[in-house]
Amino acid sequence: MPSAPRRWHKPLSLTEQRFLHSGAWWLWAILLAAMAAGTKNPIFLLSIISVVLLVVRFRKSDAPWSKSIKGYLFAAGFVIIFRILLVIITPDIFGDTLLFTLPEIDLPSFFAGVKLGGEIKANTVFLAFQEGLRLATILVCIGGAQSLASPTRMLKSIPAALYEVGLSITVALTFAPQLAFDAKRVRDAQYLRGRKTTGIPALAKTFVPVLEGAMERALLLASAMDSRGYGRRIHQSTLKRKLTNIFMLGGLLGILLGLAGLLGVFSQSKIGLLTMIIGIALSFFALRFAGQNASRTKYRPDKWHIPEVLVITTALFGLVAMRFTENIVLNPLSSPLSSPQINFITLSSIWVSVLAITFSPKPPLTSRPASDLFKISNQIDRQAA
Amino acid sequence: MIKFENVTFKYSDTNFAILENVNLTIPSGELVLVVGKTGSGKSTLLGLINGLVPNFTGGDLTGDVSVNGRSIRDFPPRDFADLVGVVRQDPRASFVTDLVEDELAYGMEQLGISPSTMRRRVEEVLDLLGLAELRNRSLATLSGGQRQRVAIASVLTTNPKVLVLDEPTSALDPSAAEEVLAAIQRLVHDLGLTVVLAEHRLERVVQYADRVIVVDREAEVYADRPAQVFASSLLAPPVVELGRAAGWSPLPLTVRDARKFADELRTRLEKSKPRIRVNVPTKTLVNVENLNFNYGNLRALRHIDLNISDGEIVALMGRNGSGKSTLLSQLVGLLEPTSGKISINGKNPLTLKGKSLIESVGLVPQEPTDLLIADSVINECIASDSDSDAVPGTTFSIFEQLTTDVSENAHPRDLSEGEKLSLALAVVLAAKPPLILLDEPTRGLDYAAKRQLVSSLQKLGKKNHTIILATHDVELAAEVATRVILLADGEIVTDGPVNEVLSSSPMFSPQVSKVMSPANWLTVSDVAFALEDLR
Repeated sequence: MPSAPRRWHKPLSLTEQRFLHSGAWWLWAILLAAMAAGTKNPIFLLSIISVVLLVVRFRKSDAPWSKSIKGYLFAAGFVIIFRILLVIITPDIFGDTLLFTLPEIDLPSFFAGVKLGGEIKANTVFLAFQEGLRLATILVCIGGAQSLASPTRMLKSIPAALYEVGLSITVALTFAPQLAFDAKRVRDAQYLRGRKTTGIPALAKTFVPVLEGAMERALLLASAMDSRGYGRRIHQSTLKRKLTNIFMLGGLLGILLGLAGLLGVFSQSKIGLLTMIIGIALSFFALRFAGQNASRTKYRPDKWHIPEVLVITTALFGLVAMRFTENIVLNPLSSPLSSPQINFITLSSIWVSVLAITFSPKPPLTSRPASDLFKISNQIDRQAA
Repeated sequence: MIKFENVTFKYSDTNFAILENVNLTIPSGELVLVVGKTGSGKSTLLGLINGLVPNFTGGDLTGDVSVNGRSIRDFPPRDFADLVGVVRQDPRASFVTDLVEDELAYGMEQLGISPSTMRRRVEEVLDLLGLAELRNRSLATLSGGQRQRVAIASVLTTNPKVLVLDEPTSALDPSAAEEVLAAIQRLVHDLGLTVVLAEHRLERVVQYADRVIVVDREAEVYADRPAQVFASSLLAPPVVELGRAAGWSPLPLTVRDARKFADELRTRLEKSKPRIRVNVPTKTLVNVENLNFNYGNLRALRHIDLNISDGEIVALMGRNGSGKSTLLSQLVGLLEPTSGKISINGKNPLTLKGKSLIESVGLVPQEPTDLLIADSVINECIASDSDSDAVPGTTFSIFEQLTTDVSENAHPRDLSEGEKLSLALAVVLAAKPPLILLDEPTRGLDYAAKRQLVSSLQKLGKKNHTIILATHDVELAAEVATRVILLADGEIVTDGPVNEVLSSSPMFSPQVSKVMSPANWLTVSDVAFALEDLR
């Protein structure tokens, strides 16, 4: 066989339109989330959120999964508000700056230690805001990764032994919007027959046809996949398959026990570490073992190029800078209340991550604003919204 | 290439054999058309080619089917992946990935083909089917014709020798159908592919067929040249029926063949005129004023002004995505207009709910079974009677008028496409709405079922029901409509009497009109009626 023409795998230029490796986006986002986890300073946190939103704004694709950031933003806002409401309802006693006083409610004795209402201190509210914002920032980072990295392309990078798992996720991802679409169709039909479309009985009536439809589609898909050769070249001996399963199970068990050990369930933490290492080794072995047999090939898997490395590097600056930042800057005091300080070096290091926009290529378009588009995708979007 | 030897097949839940003692040989490089009524066993025949029947359906098979010497008795369907490519009616159901290029590669990945070969074949097939510009597109955003071409492309990459297509154009508008059929024809010509294709809309495909297989439950399955088959077959495209009515010999199969005879027929009919089907407007039933509708940033309907009166049968036509279904949804109050006004009998459909809705307007959706909820025909009818407060038995008696002998206890799912449509229509009619909307009613209907639908609709029109149909089916529009509205890009492009609109549009003119132009004839029945008059 002639050697594979490698040139196809290399981008013609760094700016050529293509999808950046999904793993690169995830790593970048995780690094930003790690920064967020290390600080309560609202200015740093808001900077991280701005960086993520800016990069998403300029580098998300037009595919449906790219819109997930909106949901995460809502969730982030909810987290902040919820966290603040929580301290307002059950305020802490500490703090010196009184904001306002709520009527106090007496609780039965078995709620001892819990207080409803009373004096609300600015200190506790500020602390709650900081903590809520930190969690919100982490959420936004995850949402950013989901909007930037295609879930199906991510699956291309997983080990061959996990192919089935990856495939079921891909199928599920395309199934979910169709379920929403089916549900709408059934609801419409009920409306057309002059029946109620709201309330629990109506919902129950939607459930069965939607499930039936899903079953039918699953069968159709299964037969279609079979006729396209799915499962064709897996000629694995039973013994080998059993061995793989044993390794895999043993490995997972080891990892679990190891985790428990590290969390301090056992008296000696060394046992935990040891089982963890054995578990990881076993699972790795199982994956390799099973992977040898899969004779499938991969079409244009994502490769790591210079842009991928550069994108990840941008997020490292902030993390390193934060290591050398004083704690008082990272975690401003809430008691006594003080305005957060800024370290300009740290701040600008965080903002270096925004350079991911310039280093990463533009994603190619996967849809176009044509009339045939509205039928499916917009209806689904409206459903989702 | 494909051999059926003494094939008899029976599904396990029926007590008759759907295919009996079938012996067929399909030589390589031919485009073979499979015709037959719905439920005659066409899909079963197609499914047998790569063993999906009986492997995925169950049932008893005797005899043998083999492709290129590989028998379905010895190999499961997946071992036919490099030999037989199967494309279903709705390709969405068989897409595994989410991007065009990945979908094309999927089959090859399963076969373990080397990355460089995969890359080359993807490029070749993209070019072959004119999909190069769509390579990065998400499958969900493709139009119907593009989707069908991607489905074909995705099975071609494994280099099969046989392509099996089950009603590839039934959901497509005329131009998208042509796009797909042209691609298929190129495959037969350039690659020497053997194509087995089932299709109800014969007028679209007969011209491409080398051979026709006739599947009929009452008679033996046989294959013959198209000219021989259509000389006697009950299922025939309009142009063949026109030839029969006018007594032409040899019978023309294509519009082009028929034009050679057209001069003679035109002179014969010089003094005759087609029956006029335009209703005199009496009372306005539907009034639409400056209707606009946006899906997000997309303007799906713009500046729609409409007046439809009692007893009109209006065909809404246009490309996939031109706004036909959206307009129907607005008329029945499923969608709220972005701006503009709709009134049905003076009432805004959005304010109608429940019984007052079904008494004013009824919609039969694209998938008629969506409307059906019960587990048997009779229960469906009882439910419908109670929904519309009709006298018990109303729905069933309407259903009986629309169709011929169906068991009361049959599950709606097991009915033929035509019967499902009749049942859904009966459910809608039980509440006696003056306005009836049908979305793509002839999808999957054979000629007999279509004839039944045409006569039902004509009767309803005579009873002063107003009917609006959204359809791609030019022949249906020519048969029943009194008025045709062409939509493009959400705007009304043409609105006029059926004779004027259909005979002047190149894409939406029926076969008879193409043959008879410049004379203004639309349907075989009109011509036959006029010829009868002359005698």
